[in-house]
Order: sequence, then C-alpha cells, then structure tokens
Amino acid sequence: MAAMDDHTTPNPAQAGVPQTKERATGSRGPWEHGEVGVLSAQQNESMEKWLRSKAIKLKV
Amino acid sequence: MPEVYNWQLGRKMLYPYEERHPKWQFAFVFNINRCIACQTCSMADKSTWLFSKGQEYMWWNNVESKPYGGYPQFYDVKVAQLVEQVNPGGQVWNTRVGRKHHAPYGVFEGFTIFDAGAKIGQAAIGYIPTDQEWRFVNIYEDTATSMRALVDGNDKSGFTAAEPWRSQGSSLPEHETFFFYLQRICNHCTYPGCLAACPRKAIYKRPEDGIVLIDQNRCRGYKKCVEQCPYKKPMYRGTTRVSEKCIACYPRVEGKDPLTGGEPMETRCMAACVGKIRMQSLVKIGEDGLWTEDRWHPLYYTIRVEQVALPLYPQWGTEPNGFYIPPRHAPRGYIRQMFGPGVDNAIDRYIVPSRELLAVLQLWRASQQIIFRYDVIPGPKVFETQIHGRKFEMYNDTVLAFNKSGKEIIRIQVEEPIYVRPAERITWL
Repeated sequence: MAAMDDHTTPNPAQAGVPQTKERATGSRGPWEHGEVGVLSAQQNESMEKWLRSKAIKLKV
Repeated sequence: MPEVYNWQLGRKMLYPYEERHPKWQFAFVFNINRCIACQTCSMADKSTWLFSKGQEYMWWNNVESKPYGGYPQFYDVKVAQLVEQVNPGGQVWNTRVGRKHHAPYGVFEGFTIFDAGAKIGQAAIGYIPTDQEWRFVNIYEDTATSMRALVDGNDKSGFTAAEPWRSQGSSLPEHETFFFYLQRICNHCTYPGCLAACPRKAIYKRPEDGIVLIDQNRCRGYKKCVEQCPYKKPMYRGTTRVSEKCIACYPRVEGKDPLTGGEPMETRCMAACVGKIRMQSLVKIGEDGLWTEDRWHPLYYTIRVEQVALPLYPQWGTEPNGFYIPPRHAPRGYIRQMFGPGVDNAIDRYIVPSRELLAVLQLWRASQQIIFRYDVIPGPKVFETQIHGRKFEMYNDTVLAFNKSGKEIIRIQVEEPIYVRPAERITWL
C-alpha cells in the first residue's frame, strides 16, 4: 500500500466523512435531490414561497 | 460567541471570531441588467485555474439563471429554508429606522446563518450539496416563471387570477414572467461562513486586500467550508482531497502580471467580460470595519453614495463584498429577497441615472488595470427626454480614471464617438 499524505487524507476519527446516499454518488445532506420539489414544473412549498416573494418581510 | 458589527445588516451579529479588518478590501460590482450569460467569464476562470483532474465540475465563476437556476442547484432557496426552519416567519428587514452611513439598508431583524447556526450548535447553518447538484452548472438556464400555469388555473408561478394586471406577464416596470442572469464568484466576505466553519483554521482573510484563501497544506478536506458557506463557493476536490475556492486572481491584484508593469490588475473573469458588466477594485477599510469615505472611488460612489449596487443575500450575514445592480424588470418583491430593501432606490437611480452616475458607468471594463479614483470633466448637453415621467438629461462629459499610482489610465466620453470610415478605406469592394 502506498504511503498516504497525512496533509490531504481526511481522518474519519476527526470528522464525519460524508457517506453515499441513495441515488447520489458522493456527499450527503438534509436535502433530497434537486429533482424533488424545486423545479419549475414541480415546485414544493419552499420554492413557491420564494417565488411569491414571501421569504423576507419588510417593516416599512 | 463574539459579536461583530455588520454594516449591511445595520446591527451587531454573532460570529465565531473577534472583529478584525483588512486595510483594503477586494470588492466588485456586477450590473445584472447588462449580462447576456455568454459565460466568457466562466471560461476565462476555467482555463486559468480549473483545467486539472478533479476540477471537472468546479466553476469558481459561474453565471446562473434566476429563479430556477443555481450552482449548486437551488442553494439559495435551500439556505433560506434552513434559516426559516430555525426562525419561522422571522426574516424581517426594518426600514423604519431610516438610512444611515453605518446602516444604509435599515436593520435586519431576522437570523443570519451564524445566528441560526448558534441555535443548533454550529458555526453557521448549512448543508452539503449532493454531487448531482454540482454537476449541471447551467441547469434551468433561461427558464422563466410560467404564466401558462395561471391561465390553466394552476397557480404554480406564484401569481393569482385576483390580480389581473399581473397576467399581462410582460410589461414594465415589472415582468411577472421573468428570469435574469446572476453572475457569481466568491464574495470574499468580511465575515466568511467558510472561515468560521473550518475546524482546521485553514481558511484566512489576507490583511492587505481582504481576499479569502484556503491554505492547501492545512486543509484536510472535512468539507465544513462547503457546508457552511451559504453561497457554496468553496468546492471539494476529490483528487487532492482538499477544498479549493476562488483566489480572486491574487497575483494579478498584487500587480504581478507583466502586462500592467506592476500596477494592480483586475481578475481574469472581470477583464474577460464581453458585456462590460463588471468592475472590480480595492476599497479602503477603516479600523471600525466600515468603508473609509473615498468620494472619488468608483465603487465607493456606486455602492455607498448612489447605492445603486447592493450586496447579494445580505441577510445571511457574511457581509459579502460582491455588489449587484439589480435587474430592473424582475418583480421587486423577489429581488428584495436577494438584495435587501435597497432594491427600489437602486433601480430608481439606475433607470434615470444622475449625470455623475452615467459618467461613472462608462468606466465598466474600460481598462484591465484596477481603478482607484475617477474624475469628471463637464461636457455639453447632448440629449434630453422623459423616463417614467422624470426628466433625464445626458451630458457628454469626459471621465478620467487613475490607477493605484495615480497615473491616468482611462479617458472616455459618455457619448460614444462615431468614426466614419474614409472612402479610400472601404473594405467591402
């Protein structure tokens, strides 16, 4: 086995290395893929709120 | 957690480190109204810094379409939703307090990513995009909001039949069917989310120019910067197992490019801009972190005096140093979410520019050298009209610009000169 460069190799003991999620090829997160809910043809509540300009309120 | 002052929010906010500021700050203004998404900036960046193995999906500079496009996909909606989950209904701008030098847009009373992060035990709230979300840099480019959905009685576009004037869809001052291009590089924030997140302290902000860099030797690829930068500009490189990000072409900013003979030079993405939408410079920062008054600096004038250019997503609290002249045709409510409450003032001033603003706007992409000062020589009035009921007068003023050494580098007139090719030089015969 080749020597590993300890400057560039993530140490799983020190940080959670993201695991592969179903249908993903790499990292994980609290989010589903872009195809769920945020496309122009398939907007979820959050995207609709964003388009309706309801995400920020103004006190005028 | 220490408190720091964020002038874009008009208040103090939580940040993991004590307040410290560079002497100069890398900053830029992009004029959204002029961008044609030719992606010349993206390719200039790609061909300079991002052509190696492991960087295939990496775009430090990208141009995306709003509202549906994004790189990575929908990063902005997702970050907004994360903060909303921690602070439901609380994302409020208070503009009743008025405009002040230290709070030009009012006071933001909601949660920043750091405020939200503190609630869940992190430096900043964030998420790691999936590989798929990084993969399609131009996805949903040119996808407009749909008015067809309204005609069908299906209100997916966000507009209701109770507002018939909206169903026109395509009349100024606001197009309800809209998209626009958003040009993005690292904002070299005053309070970077990536820097706050890094467990290795591998990310630092240079005291001489405020450029934010990742120390490639210290980074161990934990991806916390990828997770907690809300703009998603640090990117993980699988081949080296460390993260990388836009370096603001710092050798050029330092004047190391032989083309300018030691004078500071704009970045590759700025200098390549075909549409002349970009201007970049260094602004002076005071001990208090506010921009030092510099009336004849083109960025100070545009951002602080005219306030025609606004920060991108200021509510996230990183105090980004990238500023945008907002799109004049998009619904104001939508772009207030992106650029804050200064949008109406900025568009009003851009549509009917003052004599000086019109002159300063000529400096965009007039030189590859960084402009530190400008001056205007008055010229004759050449045009007069009404714009939205307001009088607009155009003067053929001459604008001068100077580099860091004070040497004149640009002399340009507001009215574009017309050159008539002499008969003996006709080339089509």
